[in-house]
Amino acid sequence: MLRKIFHPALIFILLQVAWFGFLSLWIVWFIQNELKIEALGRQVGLKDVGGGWFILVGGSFLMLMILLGITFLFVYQTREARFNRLQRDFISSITHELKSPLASIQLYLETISLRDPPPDDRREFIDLMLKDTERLSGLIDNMLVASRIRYGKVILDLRPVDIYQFIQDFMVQAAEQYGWEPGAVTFNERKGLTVMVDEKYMEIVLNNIVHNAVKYSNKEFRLRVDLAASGRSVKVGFTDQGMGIQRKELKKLFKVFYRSPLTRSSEVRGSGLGLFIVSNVTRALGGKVTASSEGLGRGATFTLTLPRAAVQGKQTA
Amino acid sequence: MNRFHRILLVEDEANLARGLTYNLEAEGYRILLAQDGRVAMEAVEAGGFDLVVLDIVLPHVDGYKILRRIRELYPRLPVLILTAKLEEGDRILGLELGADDYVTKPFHLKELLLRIRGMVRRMTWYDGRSPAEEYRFGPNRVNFKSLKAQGVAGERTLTVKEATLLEVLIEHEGQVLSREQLLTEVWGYPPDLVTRTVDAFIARLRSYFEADPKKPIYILSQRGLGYRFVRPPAEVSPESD
Repeated sequence: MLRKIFHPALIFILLQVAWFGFLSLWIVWFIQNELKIEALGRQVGLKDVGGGWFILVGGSFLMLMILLGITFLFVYQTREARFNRLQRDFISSITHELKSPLASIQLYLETISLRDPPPDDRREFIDLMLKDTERLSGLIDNMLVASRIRYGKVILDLRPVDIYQFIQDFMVQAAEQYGWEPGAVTFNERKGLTVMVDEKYMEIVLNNIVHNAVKYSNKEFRLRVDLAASGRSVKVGFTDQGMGIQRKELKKLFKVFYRSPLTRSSEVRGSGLGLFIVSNVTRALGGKVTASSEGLGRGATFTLTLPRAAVQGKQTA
Repeated sequence: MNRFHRILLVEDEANLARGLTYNLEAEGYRILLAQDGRVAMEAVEAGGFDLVVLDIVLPHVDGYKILRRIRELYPRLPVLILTAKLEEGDRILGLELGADDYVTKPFHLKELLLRIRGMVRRMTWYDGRSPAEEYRFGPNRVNFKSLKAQGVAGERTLTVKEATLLEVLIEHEGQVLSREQLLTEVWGYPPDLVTRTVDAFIARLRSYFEADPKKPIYILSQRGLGYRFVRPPAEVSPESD
């Protein structure tokens, strides 16, 4: 309760109101005095008495500038503090994310060393370790891409790609990785839609979208992919049946390190990098991503809009 | 020895859960695996375990809530927290809520199995003790079989680690025991992050048995050296009924 009362933003607003009130009083006092001096001057027959209007305008301007400067500093500091808090949360989450597959690999290596398991078990353990290394590699890729985005060093190798074929190939691999049953992913067949993308980055985008759909899936995992041509673009929609998104969260989702309070309270693991990467890589590809949801518990749709323009070659974003 | 001991393993990482189950079953334990907080809570309500290995970051219900519920229902049940959460605050919170040990991921398999074996053995050892063994100091009474304690703060059941720590201190009455000695005697051997674990348990014992835990008269700190158990000279020698 006390924290709410003494919240820095509230104190700042109160100080600004007091400061503005003081400025207004000073202006009123100054005008009244100026009028009195002018009246007195007229009574004694003096001309050009007073003349402090320049001081009034100059003083008010100066005070307003100070007020604006303080406001700017406060907003800047608040943003910095928020970013630092997000970064701290990120380091904590990413450490956790990295440690889990690492712990699993160490456990299986020590198990093999300690127990000398039969060949079937040994093979199973090696497969599990390979999955863990893939997960580690994905996490590290995400961190590297996020860092490249922040420092504007994403170098794209754009090539024409049949997006239907590309997504289908990706889903075959994903089905194996996540162990989906047949029919878990459905999509409308739209062949011949060619987009200009960097395959490596496009795979990272798809990885993040699919990984989120799996992670936030409440019940049985289901994903629908909709492909459609739209003028000089191609729209690719991914609709899941997961926990859904609150309307107020829709725009914040794409900010770096951002994790919605709901995902944090439900203890779903994550780093807050995935959708930041999706949004920025898609933008670098000349497209955009939007999110929509009918509300909590009603799934979500992420729509990628990708350019069909036939520009080839290397580009720096 | 372990054949009939049941362990509730609460771990949401499927790969890790598989490896842990494999190893614990190879040691002769019977394992019930709970891969999210809700399932774990249901298992805790159903009961019938000799030990719980508990992750903290879990879907639906976090490990701290599960630990609280375990302590409400089974004050003696040994609980080992196995988590990737590294911060000292998390460790202290886990121990304050009544966990007996705290292992961080990644971990060494042999070390984990040793700790689990030690916790189960100690539990079995207390079960096998004479029901009449009761120790008194001041207004406090502790039964080291039932682990029931009557302290200044009322009646409660000690966890196995709390009872072991108190017993080790009493056995060495008047003698200063370093934190490292206590870790070796009570937890089996020094854990990776040492001192605060003992401190957290000492704070728990003081809150049960000291009229003013900030000015203890039984469990004293020896700055820079460790802890010792004393009884004021006015008290009679220990009674065993």
